[in-house]
Amino acid sequence: MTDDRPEDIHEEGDRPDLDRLIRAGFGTPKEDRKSAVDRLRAALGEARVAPAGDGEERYAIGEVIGRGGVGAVYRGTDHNLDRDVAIKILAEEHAHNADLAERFVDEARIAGRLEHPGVVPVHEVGHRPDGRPFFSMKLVEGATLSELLASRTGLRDDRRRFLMIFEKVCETLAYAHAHGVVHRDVKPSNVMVGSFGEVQLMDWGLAKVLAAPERTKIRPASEITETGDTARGSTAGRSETGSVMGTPPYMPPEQARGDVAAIDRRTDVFALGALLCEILTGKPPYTGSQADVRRQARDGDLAAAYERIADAGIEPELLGVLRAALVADPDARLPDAKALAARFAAYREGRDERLRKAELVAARAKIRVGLIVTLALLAVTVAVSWAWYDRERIRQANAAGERVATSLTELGDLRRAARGTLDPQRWLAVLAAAERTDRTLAGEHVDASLRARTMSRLAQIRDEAEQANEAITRVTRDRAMTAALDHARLVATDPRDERPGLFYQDAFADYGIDVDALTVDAAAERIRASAITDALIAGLDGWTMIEQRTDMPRARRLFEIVELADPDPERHRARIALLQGDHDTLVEVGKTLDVTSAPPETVVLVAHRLLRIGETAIGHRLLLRAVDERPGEFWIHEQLSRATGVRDADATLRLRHCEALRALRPDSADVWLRVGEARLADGDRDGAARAIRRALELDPDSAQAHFALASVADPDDRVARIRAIRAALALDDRSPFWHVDLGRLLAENGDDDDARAAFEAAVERMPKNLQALEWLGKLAMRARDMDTADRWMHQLVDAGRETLDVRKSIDEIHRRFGYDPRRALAFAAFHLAERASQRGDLVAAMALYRQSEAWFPVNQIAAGKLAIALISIGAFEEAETVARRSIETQRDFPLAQAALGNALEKQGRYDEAQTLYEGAIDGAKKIGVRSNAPAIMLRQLEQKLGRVEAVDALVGGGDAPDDAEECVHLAAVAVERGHLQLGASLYRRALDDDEALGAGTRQTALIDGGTTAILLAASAGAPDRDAWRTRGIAWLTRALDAWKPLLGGKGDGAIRARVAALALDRRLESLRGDARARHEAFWRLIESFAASE
Amino acid sequence: MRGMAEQDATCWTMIQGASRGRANDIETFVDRYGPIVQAYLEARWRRPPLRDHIDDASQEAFIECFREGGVLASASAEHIKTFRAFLLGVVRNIARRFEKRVVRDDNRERSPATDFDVPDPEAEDKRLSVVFDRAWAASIVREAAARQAERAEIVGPEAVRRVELLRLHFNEGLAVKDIAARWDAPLKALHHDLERARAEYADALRDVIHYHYPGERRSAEREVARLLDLIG
Repeated sequence: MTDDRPEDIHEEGDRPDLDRLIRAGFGTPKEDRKSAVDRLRAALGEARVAPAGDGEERYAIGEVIGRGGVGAVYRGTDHNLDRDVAIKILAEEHAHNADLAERFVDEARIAGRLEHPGVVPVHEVGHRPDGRPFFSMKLVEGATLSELLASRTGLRDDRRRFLMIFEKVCETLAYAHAHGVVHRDVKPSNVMVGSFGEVQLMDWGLAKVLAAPERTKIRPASEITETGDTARGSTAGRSETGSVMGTPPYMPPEQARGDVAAIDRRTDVFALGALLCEILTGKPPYTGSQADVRRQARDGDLAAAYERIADAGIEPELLGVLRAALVADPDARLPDAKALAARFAAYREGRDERLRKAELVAARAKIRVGLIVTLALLAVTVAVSWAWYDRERIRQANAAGERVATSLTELGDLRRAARGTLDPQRWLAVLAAAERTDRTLAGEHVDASLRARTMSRLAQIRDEAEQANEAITRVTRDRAMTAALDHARLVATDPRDERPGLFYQDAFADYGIDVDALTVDAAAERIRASAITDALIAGLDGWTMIEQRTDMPRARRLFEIVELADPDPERHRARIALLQGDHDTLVEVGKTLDVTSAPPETVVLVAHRLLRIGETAIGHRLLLRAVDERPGEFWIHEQLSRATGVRDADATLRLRHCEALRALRPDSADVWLRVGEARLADGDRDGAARAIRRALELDPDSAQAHFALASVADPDDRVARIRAIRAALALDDRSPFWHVDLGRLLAENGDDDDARAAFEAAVERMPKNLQALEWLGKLAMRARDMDTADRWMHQLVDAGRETLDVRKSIDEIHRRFGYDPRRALAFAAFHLAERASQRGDLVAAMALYRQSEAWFPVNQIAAGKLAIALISIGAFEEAETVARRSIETQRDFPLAQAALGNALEKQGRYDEAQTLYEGAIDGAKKIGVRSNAPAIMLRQLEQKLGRVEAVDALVGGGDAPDDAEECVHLAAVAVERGHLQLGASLYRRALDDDEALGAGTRQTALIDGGTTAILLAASAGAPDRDAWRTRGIAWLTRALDAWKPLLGGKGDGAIRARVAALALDRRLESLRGDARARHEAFWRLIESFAASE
Repeated sequence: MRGMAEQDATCWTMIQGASRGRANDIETFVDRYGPIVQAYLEARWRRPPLRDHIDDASQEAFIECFREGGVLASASAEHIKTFRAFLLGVVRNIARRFEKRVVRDDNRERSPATDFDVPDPEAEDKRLSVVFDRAWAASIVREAAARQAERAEIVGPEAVRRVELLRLHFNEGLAVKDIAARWDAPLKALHHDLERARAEYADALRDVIHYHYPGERRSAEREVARLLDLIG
């Protein structure tokens, strides 16, 4: 092919012209772009602008409470919500500095994405009327660490408190580092310590998101200028504005030198080291004049700091922590704040352990010293005064005996009070009294028999106390286990949540029953030997049920253990029935179980399983019978309070049982959570929010409660819901479903990058999570990254095939997850089919269209496209069947109507086709789809209808027209109306004079004429069969030869699709099978198209 | 046959396929030219009642293209010099036909009634022709940008980066030195990359123009000149 492309686009000579074209080609002009604040506001889903004038203003702005390099922080009041807030406003002198304004809103963006108790939450971002951006945030009352350090009178004052603050800052930064954020300005004046001891790291204005390094710029240190004071007017350092970046007394050398490439998490680690240095020595690492500080910072000159540290009398372990952070060479530093936090925690635990031991040693030494001193004094006294004492001996012995007896009486009373209890305080009182008696005995002259009796008594009581202590330990452990099992059972309300499996696993392992490590016999033996066998069995049953969903071999192992440990015949029947899927037996057990005699665990197990298999009526009746018998049984109420399998109309009933749970366990955060869920289901959003807040008060670290906050937030307030889920994930990031929920909210919020990360986290935790895979595919499509979209869609389809072979399992997913994967799977298969179709891979396309239709039978588009593909391979009747099937599900769907019309048209059923095309046009209008294809098809059909009469005349013996183009049109009508012989003859007539044909018509005539000739040759009773077959093959060969040079060009996919259709064409059936060998050259030509790919 | 094959590798492959009733080609045709027809009609009919007929008229324009015995049935590159002019003619005729019909209906319903503009026909034709051509030109230069991006995906990350460079420079309006600072890249190398990216865009544009004007070097040259005029 010659290169006849235009040569008049000169890169060198006409660059301005070319640039104009490029500018137009690359889209929107600059003035259309949104400002940084607009984009941020869009990202946060908030679009309010807070006016600063009179009347309608939302915020009242009060005094300045802090000033930074780029703006000031004011105390304010939010009139809408009637709360105090802090408002940060860009400084007036920077109002026209776009770079600083961008960085200013970046601070809000970064702080907004960090959902952590150590980061102040950002409420709102907006513009002042003068155009300056501002953001409002939670007002933290308290003092900065800088102020607190300055108020110390001595270096060791409150050291433990300051170290605790340091550890919290480390944890906050560990969270930020995990999210790719480096603070770059960690210093005491940026650490806020609230009135209730809460520690928050402030001023994220210099923070850098590692994934997007271009967002902030760093200039060489030589360009650094200092402006503005830090918050509250203190102290050791001021942030460098202009462009950079940090406060010299706390800067590592790479930051001080402006070495942008080297700034990473280790930069903050150094600053944390500097902060710890100030806590321990009273000064940051670098001190002196500003110039000196800068020089030391640039050079990493820590000699003076190390000297001060060495003189501060710091214990070696803490010194190790400090030296791992405060080191000039970044490679020698700990890699991030998480590592530093872990190192510090190890030190703290070691310190606490040492302190505990030291206290014990001190207590024992005190006793020992006391005894020694007493005995020594006694011995001296006896030696010196024996004679004098002799007279008094009997009197004294009597008095001592009385004192010992009194002490023994007191001991006996305490012992009696402690006996039968497992109250550790009471038993400690017994031991203390025994110690006192012992001391009394040691210091008194009592007669030998009283001494012997007392010693024996003391030994007996101590044994008893020792046993009580063991029992207390055991019971404490059992109680912890019961609580862990309760938690696992209670959190399993979300039917999607697989994590109770993990909770059970951790609980059993901590309890010494590691089901993976122990043999089945040993595990069962430990369960039987426990004092809480029933709870363990109920837990194992619950765990087995969860594992049955995802890990059948493990479920079987748990089943073996629980069967060996638990002889209860009813539960045995229920378990066997469930494991074997024996529906009837389970129903039978449910109906006949005697709730008066069966243990509650059995009732719950059977009922739960009945609800799970959809026998809700029987399961529910069983529970209601049981609760009548045992109105105070927590777990029966618990089961009744579950949503699983119970109709929505029963929300009020569920709520009633939740309230019963609350009455039975008022201090359980899990129960309050359940109450919240039930109230929400009952439509009481405010009540639900109150319950969940109560759960959070009882257990501030409850990830489930944080997650539940998302469900009670205003459904339109995505930012609040996102924040709640992020807070939950910060505490426990194991649930793929939470990541999916987060991803969906982020995607709806237009935050595609974070949404993608959330969905990827879900897939990492659950590779076949259909929802996450679906979203990842959609997001890639939204980003026009079709290769990535294909990859996710393939994974989704593969996962779907594995998961959804059986219709029942689809329904199961739908019921359990509230998510119907069929539509998503059908969409993925359809997407892949379309991509295959574009490549010309008709076989794959048809298989995927079929798959799409099979997964979601009401998917008319797939059915319509499949019908069109079937038409292209001459399978008109099958196409008709597929299209009809589709129309049955939705009559007005235009594509299916058009496809059916086309299938009928190809069979010569023009009147029906016409009606369908008209229906398709109307259908498109009704559903608001702009589709011109049916109208075009109708117009083409109308042309054919005009030729029916002419064809009939030809059948009756009329003469064919001279015009070659007309012959081709008539031939198509003749063939479609079943006149193969006439059609073939007309094609022959046209192709004998093919110079008269237009290029496109000629190619059509070759293909359609070729297939017609071969079909004719294969039909019974046709004349000149061999000649027609030879002619047909020759025509098709000419058509293929014409296409061959076009491969690799723009129309490559279309050509490949046409050849693929030809390869599959039903009308060429007679050339396949045994006959194929005789037509090998033809088939090789067809295959060569595929080979040249 | 070879001549036909070369022409077939162009927009005419798709146009012929569509005119023969291939559903996929019909969809491609409508996708490609629909926005241009739409832009023309929206500029021509800015008020009701004609504005309400834009969708119907757009559909009729396509039917007109495929009407048997109509222009496309016998059309090929040999008969139609530029498809742009052809399509403009079609859509203009359809628009006029609609206007007559709507005026007639309107008169029937509300007499007397002419609530749409009656501008100077010649000046209006010229204005609308420019609108159509601008929409056409915009589709061509955007197609070139898309084509360059598609190619870059195949060539590799450096080429993708060059496309991004063009976007930042021409769309975001960033100076090369600012991009260099943002990417932390040497300024000189970036200037070199920009030159290369320009050349790649030019190459993609040549292909697109060739696709729309097969074998017609002078038409193509004229088209580039027109593009420059129209883009302004």
